[in-house]
Amino acid sequence: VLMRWIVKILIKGKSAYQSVGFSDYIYLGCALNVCRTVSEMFPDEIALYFLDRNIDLKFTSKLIGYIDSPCSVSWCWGRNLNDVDKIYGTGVERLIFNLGSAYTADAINAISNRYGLSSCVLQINVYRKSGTLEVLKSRHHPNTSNVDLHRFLLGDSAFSSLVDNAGECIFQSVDAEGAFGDVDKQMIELVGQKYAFQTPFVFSGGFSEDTAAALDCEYHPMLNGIASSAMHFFSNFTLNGMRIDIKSVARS
Amino acid sequence: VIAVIDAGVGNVGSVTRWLERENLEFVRVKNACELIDYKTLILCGVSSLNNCVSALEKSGFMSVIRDVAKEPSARILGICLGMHLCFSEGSEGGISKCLDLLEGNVIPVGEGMLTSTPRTNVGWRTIESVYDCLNEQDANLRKLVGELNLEKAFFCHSFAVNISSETVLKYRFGTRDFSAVHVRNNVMGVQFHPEKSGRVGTLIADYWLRRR
Repeated sequence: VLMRWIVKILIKGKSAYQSVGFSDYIYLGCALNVCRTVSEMFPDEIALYFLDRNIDLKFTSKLIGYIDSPCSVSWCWGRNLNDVDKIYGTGVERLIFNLGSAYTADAINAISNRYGLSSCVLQINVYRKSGTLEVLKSRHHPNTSNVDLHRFLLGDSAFSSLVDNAGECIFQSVDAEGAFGDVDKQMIELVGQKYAFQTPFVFSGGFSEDTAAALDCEYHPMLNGIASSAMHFFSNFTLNGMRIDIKSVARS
Repeated sequence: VIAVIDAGVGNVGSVTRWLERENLEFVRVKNACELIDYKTLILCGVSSLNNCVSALEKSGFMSVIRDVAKEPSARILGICLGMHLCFSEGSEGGISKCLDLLEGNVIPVGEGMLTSTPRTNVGWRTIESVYDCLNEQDANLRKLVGELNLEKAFFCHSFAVNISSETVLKYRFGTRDFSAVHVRNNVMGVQFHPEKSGRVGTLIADYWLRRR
């Protein structure tokens, strides 16, 4: 298995941002320029995270046009298949569905039947709360509660049908997301030990030697790679202080 | 001029941008009756097979593609799902009768393997030539296979094709080898995404589409 490195670019309006834990956004530059710059470095995959509730489809299509690498899109709007059709229509290969969004297992199943299983990616947001790791069930539905990551990994029936209908899962540590030298080692270990599904997964959130070590030792047969922010990807070229030497498959 | 079949399914946008980068002239053909004027066709990927076959049947593309394939001077490139379409049938999303231009079986990628094998193949893999094909008459194809040998390509699929006598390049998934590039006369099916695979895509554009 060739571990791949997915570069995440956060987009608000027509600009690209960097953040830690999805707060305190730092402006990186014009989204078109950032996408083009990253694309020219031949990453294994680029994931665009649209942070606005409304997406400018024309702009999205133009943005994806700058990307030569495989591309996936995460967005927080849209609650029906028509919205999904529109976003696939921009030329993206894969869509990332947030577990915290309102999509049900049936909806994910309908989408994977229409676009193929491998085009459907399920993102699982993991939070640290009083020392334990929890999976955010739904941000938009106040009546639902978070679930312990341990229970989730053992195949909680509410989630297993969602995971089974996805082509890949992203375990995203929200607290460590975008941080340098800080990765949720406990999340990596727990997922590596307990994950019992046949859907491959990637780790996301923070970037450190622990992440590199997790990939080097082929942590789990379903592990496909890591996702990290654009700044982590840039740093591999510019910050000599970081001794992380994961090479993008496409660049090697 | 290359005709990119646009029946409202598949990643047509990615494929046309790839052709632009490769400086290849193309048109997006939405109307089946226009297709007969073209000698080079591309069937795009990203959809489920059943959904794609329904869309192509509904828009009348299936029979026209079969007609074009009978022309010895024509060339057809099927990408990922477009490759699966070139076989006789598939089971993704329900049993579908396909174009029957290539010989082989389309099966779920993890079928018959250990439970520790993923159900989807997403990511970069090394492709390897199948040495039998080096006796291939077509010098162009022989050269292409030689150049692609041991290159890395981007795969994103949950169904795959078993190796047959028409396989020219293979890849390994789990404990088995599958067909990465399948060729019969003027029809080529590629399991990976050349439009997203950098140099590999350029080589396919040069040797198969541009007929260097």
